Amino acid sequence: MPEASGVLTEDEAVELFAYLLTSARTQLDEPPDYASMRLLTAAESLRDRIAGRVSPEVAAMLEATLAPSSFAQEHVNDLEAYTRSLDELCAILARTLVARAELEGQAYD
Amino acid sequence: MTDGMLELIRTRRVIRAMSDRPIPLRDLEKILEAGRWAPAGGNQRVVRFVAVRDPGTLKVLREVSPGMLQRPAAAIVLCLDHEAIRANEIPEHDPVLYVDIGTTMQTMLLAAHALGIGSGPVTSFAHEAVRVVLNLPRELTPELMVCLGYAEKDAEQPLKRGGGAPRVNWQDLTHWERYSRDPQS
Amino acid sequence: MLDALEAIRTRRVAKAYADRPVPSDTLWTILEAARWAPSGSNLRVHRFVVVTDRRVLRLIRMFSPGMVAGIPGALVLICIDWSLARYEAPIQAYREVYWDVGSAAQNMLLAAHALGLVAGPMTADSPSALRVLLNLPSHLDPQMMVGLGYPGEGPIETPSFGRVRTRVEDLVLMAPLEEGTHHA
Repeated sequence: MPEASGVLTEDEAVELFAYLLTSARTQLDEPPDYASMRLLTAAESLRDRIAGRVSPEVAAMLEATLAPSSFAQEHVNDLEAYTRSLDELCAILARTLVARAELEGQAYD
Repeated sequence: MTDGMLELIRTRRVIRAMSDRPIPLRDLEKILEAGRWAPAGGNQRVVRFVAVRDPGTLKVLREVSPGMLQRPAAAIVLCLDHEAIRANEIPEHDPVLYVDIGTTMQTMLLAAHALGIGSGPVTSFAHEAVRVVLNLPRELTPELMVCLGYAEKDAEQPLKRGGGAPRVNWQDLTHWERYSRDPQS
Repeated sequence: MLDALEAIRTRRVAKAYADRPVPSDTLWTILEAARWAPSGSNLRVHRFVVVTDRRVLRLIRMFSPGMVAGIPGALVLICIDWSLARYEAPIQAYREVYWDVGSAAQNMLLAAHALGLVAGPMTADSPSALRVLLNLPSHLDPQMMVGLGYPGEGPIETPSFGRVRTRVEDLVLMAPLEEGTHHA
């Protein structure tokens, strides 16, 4: 397990914690699809905080998510486009996770 | 036997706390084989299994699956084969396809329980991420994951004796671990 | 417990039903097994409608080409009760109600097998006919029908997928390898 490397200050972490917790509550009173937007926003805030503090590999992934996440936020009313952007973001994430876990070259066919 | 099966059905639970003790390959094969014998609508076999034991892959799957609270020793990702679905002229989102996923899942959960292995279904995961992690071929969609692992308190149980690997057709339904980046066929 | 794996493999699809009623405590045991199936969101949105009246079963059979084994001792409809579902959504977003139909059905089939019954699972092909025949409330949406009964005359079909396909490798005796022999 990597040591805690302090990519977040305590203030930033508390702010993010608060955002997630309060969103969990507010989502009960809001339309269901707001939940997705809130989570995406939380992910973006986290990204913006840590972008300059992470390894090059992770920084590259965060950079790659900039355009699709903006696009998603601008198209929240177009479910198809929004969904496609989120799928794209998940694929970007997955490729980095696979690389970090050094899984390539281990497939069994 | 009557009581055995009913008891099995009654005592099956979703297990969340799993030990990292590995599952013997032959037991995993028995679970896969059981899945193959699940009833299928129209007798068309459209469910495919991607079986994962590699800890690195399991870790990444967990990272993209908010619903996976377990740290399983193995996971079987149930997929629908849309090539087979089209070939059988079944509509793409026919409910019977999801019913088939359900029968397959339940059969595997019961088989695991019969082998003394804990199990739990995971339904909340990012499909596109899982697709990338496993390098799924185009025609397969991940639908549901069956997580497997010895329940924490049972970690000390002795290994159950099993037979040799049964050479039947569940292998045709099963892919082991991630697909490679450059598919050969 | 390893007998259970055998039971899973040898679960039989009914080929013919005996003209013999299924006792109600046996039925309840089988329905109880359905209750022990996991539920997607822990919301129990499935309801079971049990039909044992032979006249009604005969009528249902007219609308059910899948009911090839004759009139079962009992027929259980597995229905989704949409009034209990928290929301209606496109099927892609709400698959768990259908997974749960499958897991309930398999529990019933295995329980039936354990009790010496044979069972015939079928997709509910004519939901509108079923509504009329059974006066189903409009919020009940039949998905599957499971025929239950004691085995009747005629051969019992082995597991629903038919014969195990033998692999050619299993049939070929490998003589001492010769040059150029292709070996699996």
